[in-house]
Amino acid sequence: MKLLIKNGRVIDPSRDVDLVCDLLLADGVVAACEVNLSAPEDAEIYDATGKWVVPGAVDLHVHFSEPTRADRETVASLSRAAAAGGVTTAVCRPCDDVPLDNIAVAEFLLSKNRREGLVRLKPVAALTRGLRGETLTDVGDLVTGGALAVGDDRAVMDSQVMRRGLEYARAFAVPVIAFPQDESLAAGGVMNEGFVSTTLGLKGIPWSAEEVMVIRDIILARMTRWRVHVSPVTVAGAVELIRRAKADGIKVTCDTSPHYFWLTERAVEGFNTFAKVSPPLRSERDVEAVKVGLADGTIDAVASHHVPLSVVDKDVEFDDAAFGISGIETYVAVAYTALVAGAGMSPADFVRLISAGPAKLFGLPGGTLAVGAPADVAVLDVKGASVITAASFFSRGKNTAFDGVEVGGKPALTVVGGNVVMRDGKLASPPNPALAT
Amino acid sequence: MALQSKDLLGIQALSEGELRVILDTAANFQTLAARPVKKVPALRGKTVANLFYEPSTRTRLSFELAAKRLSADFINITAATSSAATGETLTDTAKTVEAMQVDFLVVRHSMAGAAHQLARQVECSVINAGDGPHEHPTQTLVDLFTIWENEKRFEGLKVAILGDHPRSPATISNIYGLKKMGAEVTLVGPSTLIPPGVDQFRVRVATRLEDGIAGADVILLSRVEITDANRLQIPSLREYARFYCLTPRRLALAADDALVLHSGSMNRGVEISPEVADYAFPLLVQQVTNGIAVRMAVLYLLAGERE
Repeated sequence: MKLLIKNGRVIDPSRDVDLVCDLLLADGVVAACEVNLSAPEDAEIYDATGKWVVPGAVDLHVHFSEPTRADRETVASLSRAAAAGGVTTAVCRPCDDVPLDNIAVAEFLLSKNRREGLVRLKPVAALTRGLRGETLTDVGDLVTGGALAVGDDRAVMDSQVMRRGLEYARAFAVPVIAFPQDESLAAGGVMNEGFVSTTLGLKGIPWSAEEVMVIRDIILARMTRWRVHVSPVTVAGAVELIRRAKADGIKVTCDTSPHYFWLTERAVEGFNTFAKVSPPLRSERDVEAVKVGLADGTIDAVASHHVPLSVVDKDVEFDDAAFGISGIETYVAVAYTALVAGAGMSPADFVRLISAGPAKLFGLPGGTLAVGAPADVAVLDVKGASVITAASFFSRGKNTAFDGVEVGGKPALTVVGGNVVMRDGKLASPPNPALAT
Repeated sequence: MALQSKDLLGIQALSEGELRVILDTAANFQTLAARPVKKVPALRGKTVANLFYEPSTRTRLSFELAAKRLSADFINITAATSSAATGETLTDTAKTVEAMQVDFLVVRHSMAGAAHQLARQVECSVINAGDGPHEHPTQTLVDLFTIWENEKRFEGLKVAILGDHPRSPATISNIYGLKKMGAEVTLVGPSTLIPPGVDQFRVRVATRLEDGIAGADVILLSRVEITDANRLQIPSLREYARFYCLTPRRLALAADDALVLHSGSMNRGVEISPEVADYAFPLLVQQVTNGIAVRMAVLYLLAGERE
């Protein structure tokens, strides 16, 4: 099928393009990007006047729970939520429900998505068996099976295990994702440590828990000469450590998520379990430092950090509530609102952080609208405003900390492999034939 | 004058004016205690339910007596330790109890915020009878009442607070209450027991007990013991006692006739020496009597018309 997206502002930082023009998608790839393209006879036309036409978002950090927890996110619901959120590729990380530590689980995700999915889903494999931090998974096997990086999505506390993991991953040319939290410093904590945690009587997780882990992993990256991707970065000191390490030529990259540059620890006040997330929401100062890191290129990507949970995970005492925010459906709009509308970031820098930046980190398809590239596109309605409504999420996780918040930049159209998967909030029926190959 | 909120969840949300109203009302109820018939019909037809997720005999009995002396019907509900343990969410529990048409829900829980989370879900008044290390407003009100009875002032009063602050049920409430009333507060203890960011309360911190209680008009103590939760914060009870036990010699550094208030069961020889414990015991007993009057005042005021 052919689709002509007319008259939108095409922003493609991979080619330094930012102009109002037409984008023609044909046979699953970008066919042309020019001013005043004439529509081929068989092309569908989408009028993007006043909207941004950008490479589809590449989300480096999402979770699903199928088949372990039927009440949480399935592959199908994740894929639908992604399409609604302007995401064309989502990277699934291991978690307790789905540790992704053997090739069967990775294959389950990929085959399930071929049959039931709308967007591209890619697995990150666990670095250690059962996420226990003790012995390495069969990394080579997992990489051959489609894993594009390895990492437990929790701290590997044993430094020798992390060191060997980095050395081993280097042999298979995949980066290691490091979760930056020293678990002994964080033990028992449920929110950021400081005055707010004291007034709430909740146990805190200090900023030092993140910095201690980041500096260790930077040292191990230097020692092993291999790539550490810190995910997510949330405190000022960690941003600064990574900035210096990059300047020193150490192979370290990182991402963060919108709740770390929109919300502070004060969102927890009133014992709001929807603001309980790991790492915790931090101070005003940290939020500002994360924004500076995003603006100056220290932070390479913005990811949703999508942890979809069920009602029973959150409707309990704060100490007992599960960590996590459901974010894939809202993070592009939330990031747009915080960074472009709120902090004056250039459109190109914003689009790079959600598309070209993350795509480049893990060698993913998309992130560009170059002719011949996969036709993975999002159209953002930057003029209109919309209110985030958890109840209407396609994700099974309604656990957003942004319910009722007004945002701009809502995705109006999502195209994956040339197929429209979302238009004006309405989803296509799966499967998406572009995922078959 | 009544209280602004339907609930009493913490001292944080109360104004100085509201605190004074509660103390004045408690003083009125206190005069009842001396009469042969201690019961008044103020809450006839109302129901008070104690919902205790952890045992606390003193607080439970105090609320029970307060409710009964106001002629309210009273029930005790003993719940499991948390909603995770029962499998019933806080919301379900709240709705169930509310269906019993209770007017007051007195909640005790080991986890911070439990009473707040419940209060959002029900129409009835929720009283926080201690939510772990967060707030224990009625305990603080009792302390304030006893301080007022004995000192007749708060402005400029020097108060030292000793104890295992990160776990003490009333430290945060006491800081809020005393600061709102104009007292000067010093938190005493080793650095490991000083909660992060307390300087933002505008309290003084003293790691040396001698510095902390010098000239103090009031010393607030709470029980210190070693558990899994604080074994990295207190090396041993022996060590704690050596540096922080309130002994007669140390008490002599405080103002003459300083008030020594202990919040509950004393660990003699740890936070308080046996001699000082004997000195403080009459006040501890007075606190128990005051506790009933203060809780009667809270129930009575919450039942009143709201502005």
